[in-house]
Amino acid sequence: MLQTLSKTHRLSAPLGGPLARALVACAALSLFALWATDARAQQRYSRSFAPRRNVSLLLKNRSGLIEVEGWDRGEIRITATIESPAARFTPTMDDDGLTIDVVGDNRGRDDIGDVNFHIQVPYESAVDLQTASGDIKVHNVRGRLVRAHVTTGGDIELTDIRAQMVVAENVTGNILFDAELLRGGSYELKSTQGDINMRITPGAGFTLTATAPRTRNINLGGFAQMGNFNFQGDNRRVVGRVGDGSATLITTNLRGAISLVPRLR
Amino acid sequence: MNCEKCQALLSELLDGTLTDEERAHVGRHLDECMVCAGVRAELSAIVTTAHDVRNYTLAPPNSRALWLRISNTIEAERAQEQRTAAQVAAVVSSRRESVLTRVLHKHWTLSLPQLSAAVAALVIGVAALTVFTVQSLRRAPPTEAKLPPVHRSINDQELDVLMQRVEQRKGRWNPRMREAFERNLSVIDAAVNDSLEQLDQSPHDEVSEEALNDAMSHKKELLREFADL
Repeated sequence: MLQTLSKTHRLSAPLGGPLARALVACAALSLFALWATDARAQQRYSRSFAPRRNVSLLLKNRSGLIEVEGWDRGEIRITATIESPAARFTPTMDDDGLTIDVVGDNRGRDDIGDVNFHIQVPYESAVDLQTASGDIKVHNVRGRLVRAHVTTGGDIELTDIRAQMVVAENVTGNILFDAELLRGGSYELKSTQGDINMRITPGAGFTLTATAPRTRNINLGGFAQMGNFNFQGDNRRVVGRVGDGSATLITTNLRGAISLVPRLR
Repeated sequence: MNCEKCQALLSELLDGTLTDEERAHVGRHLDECMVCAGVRAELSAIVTTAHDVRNYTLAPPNSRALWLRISNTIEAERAQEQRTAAQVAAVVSSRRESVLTRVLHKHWTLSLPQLSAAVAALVIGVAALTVFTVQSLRRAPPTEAKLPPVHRSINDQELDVLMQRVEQRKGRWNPRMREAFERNLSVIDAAVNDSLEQLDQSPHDEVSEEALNDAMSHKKELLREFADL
């Protein structure tokens, strides 16, 4: 025991000295270098635009997250982090609204990094968001159109939506649609493989066509008692009507499940 | 008399046709000239030898037998060539003769049980072939002619062109983009196959037709976008 203590004492003495201080300094330098590299690899973009006649946003991205949320100001504010190799884009504002075309502005460039957008728009804006790859989130928008299109994989979350027309499409990834359906509105949600979850305001009148040909997994939740529904094609499709059926809700999930539940007020 | 004139007369001298005067002149020169005397001696030896071998013939001992041997050899070679040509022709003609011809030319003698067994085997063979053909046709992917119009888009030339463009460009994308493209394309293809399998079972199934259209539409869109990146 005494021998062990003695060895410990002999070893700990030099570690507490200059060697330990050198190690700590090296670690600190490494962390600083990492932070500096990361900071240099990411660029930030921030700019505000005052809409002219129409309040609409068209964004075509290649990859990265797109977040759009409504706010109570009359301007569109774009904040973006641009990962290396940095993509170029120049937003253009005209009478039709604001357009950001990352795809067009970088055509022919084979290797560009993600561009992650956080865009704040007036509540009444129409938003059309497209990306080759990446998630799309739209929150609290009440314009005439909300469109979210992911060409490959990416989750789509449309929450607190009140729009006359909504379109959400992806290949892989989930779709969450949390909305109030308007009279005469048109709502279309399509995925190839990924779950589609809808939270609809109770009391809304709509016709539903839900198709899940592979899984036959169509869950009507609380709406099953609110309307008349027919299971067709060996339970691969559900067609039904709730209330006056004035809105049209069409959803197709080729290899995934569909779930419809009443939205909490 | 000089040497040249002397040697020109040597042959006649040996033949004894010279005049006395010429013979005297030549004789005097030969007595004085050792060279011409040597030439006369050589010429005289040749003439003597020619006289001695006059009665010998140079023909072979039995020339007729020799010609016969040569003739026989030529005839034998010709006969061999003809035999070889005949054998080659025989082989070629025997190859041309099909198995069927040989079978048909063969004399068959079948008993009643043998004949019955042969007929039964033929019937079973034809039935098996028919069943196999029908099943193959059912399993085969629907051709353009059999497909309802909605399915024809699968053989769309635009898809082929887009796919070629994508293949050309794919190598230059970053790995993440390439992986996303390939993964999602395989998901879409799986959905297309789901619909096609369903349509194989129920060719007029409306849900599957719509699902197929949706999947093909996604595929086209994916290819268009990535071909243009």
